[in-house]
Amino acid sequence: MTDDLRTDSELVSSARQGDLRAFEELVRRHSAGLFAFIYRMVGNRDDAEELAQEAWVRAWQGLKGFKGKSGFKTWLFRIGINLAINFRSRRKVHEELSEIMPAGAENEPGTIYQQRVREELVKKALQGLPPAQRTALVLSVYEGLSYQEIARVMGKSVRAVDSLLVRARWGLRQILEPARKKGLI
Amino acid sequence: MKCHKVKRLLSRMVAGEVSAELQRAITDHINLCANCRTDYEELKQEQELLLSADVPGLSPYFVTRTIARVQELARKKREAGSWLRLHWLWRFAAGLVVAIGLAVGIVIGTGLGSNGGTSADLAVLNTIPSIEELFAGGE
Repeated sequence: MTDDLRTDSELVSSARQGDLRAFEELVRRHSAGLFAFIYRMVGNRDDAEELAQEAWVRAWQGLKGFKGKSGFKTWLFRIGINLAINFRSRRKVHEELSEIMPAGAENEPGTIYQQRVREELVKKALQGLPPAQRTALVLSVYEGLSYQEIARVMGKSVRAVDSLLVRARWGLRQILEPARKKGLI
Repeated sequence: MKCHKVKRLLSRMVAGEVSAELQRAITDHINLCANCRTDYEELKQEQELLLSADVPGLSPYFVTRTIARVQELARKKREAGSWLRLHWLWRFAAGLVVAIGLAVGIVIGTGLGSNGGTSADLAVLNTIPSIEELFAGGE
């Protein structure tokens, strides 16, 4: 059977025996999702790629300890969450000083400019949330996970996830209020 | 349903995490309450804004680079493992040499004792004159 037809758990079990080809297939399969998730957590492409690669290295090193109680993707994302949260806390001061829009963006054609404004707004709004709220919101909005799944990934109760998401939504509203007043949303 | 309860449930509603029955109850309230309706509309706008933001593409060599890094780690681990095995062999060899040395020493020592001093080494000792012989010779 070719690697792309094998399930994650079959690939994980081969990779645990040292089969790098099986691990490569897992990397191929989950890298885009992991990268997108980390990018939304840290708001920078280079940092997100670096962290995604680090997550894969840690996954390889920790593969023997992976018991398979949760799915491989859940386990992988958990590694990504820890890396992104720790990374953010080191860069907080720098991020708070950053501007909303990159220089020269106002010279771009209307729709591209609007899209870039929206993307920068989203990035800034997400970065403005506390890490746990941001994690829950990204998992809910972009990964489409249910509250129960988010609770499993984050190691929290469904009630705690509900509370995090309510606070995240209201926090987001406060951060976006100036943009709303300017008519950017 | 009271406003504070509806406000609490709005984020669940936007995430599609409410039952059909609860959704109907919230919608009924929103239709009557302008304040909660505004909150709900704003939440929906924010959800749309979040979903409108694209993520840049992953660089084309990400998988290759990641696998190369993992391969390097695997190679280092293998090498470290073989060095440890070699190290273990060296330790075993050193232990073996010491053990053989001790065994040879014991065999020689036991041999000397059981021959009652008639070995070549003791023969040399016998040629040395005693103190009485030295004094007797001097008189």
